[in-house]
Amino acid sequence: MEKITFDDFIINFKVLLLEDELIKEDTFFKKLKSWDSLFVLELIMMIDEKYNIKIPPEIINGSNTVSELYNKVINHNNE
Amino acid sequence: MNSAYIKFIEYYIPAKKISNDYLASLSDSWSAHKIHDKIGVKERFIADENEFASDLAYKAAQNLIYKNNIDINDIDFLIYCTQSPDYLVPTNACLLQSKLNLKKSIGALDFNLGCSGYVYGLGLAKGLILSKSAKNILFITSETYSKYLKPDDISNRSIFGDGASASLISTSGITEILDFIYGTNGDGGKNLNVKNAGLKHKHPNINIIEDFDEANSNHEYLHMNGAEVFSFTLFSIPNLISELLNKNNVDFNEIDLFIFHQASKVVLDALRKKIGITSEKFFNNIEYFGNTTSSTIPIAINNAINQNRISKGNKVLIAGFGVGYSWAGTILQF
Repeated sequence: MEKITFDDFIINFKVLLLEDELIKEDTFFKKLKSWDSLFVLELIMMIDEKYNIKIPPEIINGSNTVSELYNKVINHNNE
Repeated sequence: MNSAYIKFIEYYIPAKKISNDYLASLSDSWSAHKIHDKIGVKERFIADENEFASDLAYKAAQNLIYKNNIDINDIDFLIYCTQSPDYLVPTNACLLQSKLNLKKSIGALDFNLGCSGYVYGLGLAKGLILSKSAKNILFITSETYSKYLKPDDISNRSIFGDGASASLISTSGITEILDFIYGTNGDGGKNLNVKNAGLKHKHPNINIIEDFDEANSNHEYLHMNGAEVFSFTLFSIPNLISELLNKNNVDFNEIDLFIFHQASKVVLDALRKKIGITSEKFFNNIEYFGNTTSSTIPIAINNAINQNRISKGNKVLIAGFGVGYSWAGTILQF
């Protein structure tokens, strides 16, 4: 599988956000205005659609920053 | 007899409307626009305080019988799907036999499933027809999930509505019921449950939390871990669809309409996209009734017929999935 770059991941992440929201690698994404219970679903969908990775919700809920989530995604193996 | 058919489908939706404006007024974080945009429901209807699943079922059955001039003496079996029965004992099916004045020589039973219930019920009914145990089965789905919802649980109150359906499954009809695929994964029980709805919670020395492996919910009310249920749906249902097509030896492009359990807009959109179904071939009516659990599929079939979305000769794939986890699908040949 093609390597997932952080730049690409953050571009796809930003698509899910409100227009005025900015994120960096150390952004605590659960503090974003966009963050709610449905945002988790949108992240699961985005990661599946863009990278074909089935990420369990607890990995998203257990991550704090964007880079932490990115690292868990790239190291995740679909069962 | 080597096949079974749906002959008629009718439904009943209770009168009490819950609007998005009302729900938004109870919350600081949800607006009416956000509820409509994200959940996809414009309005949902719930049973009144003194109205229960058997009352909704009775009205759906009356609609079925009177709109289609059914002779109640022809009904020889009653199957009733509910997870919100009037009583645990006796069954709603027995109560309804009496209320509808059906023959006493009929079989009647309840079964407990949620969003997969309509498809499972069709499978049970088909088995009864093929085994020559019955010829005209009244199949009811009826839920009052609203009574399980915590008043300030805006998320679930936005999603769920109450409702009932009544179908007549027979030896002839408008659509033949083809082969089924079923699935179950009880590990998902912890993600969608009402912990105090049965008897186990009453035992003084048993901690029911051990059955569920999580403690973050109010036991009196419905608990749903939406992300986990979504994840199960997104990653399990596409397989169900391909297995179903294989089992029936039907090509994906031969399906004229896909009718899935109307779970929520986000679930339906995600599944449609992942499976690659065009919006023209994908039925969606969640906006008008919300998620009525086991009744969403029969209501959708009824609506699709009335909107001329289904013609004679069409193949319609139906799939139900949710609490359990439990899932099932079949193809209807119109």
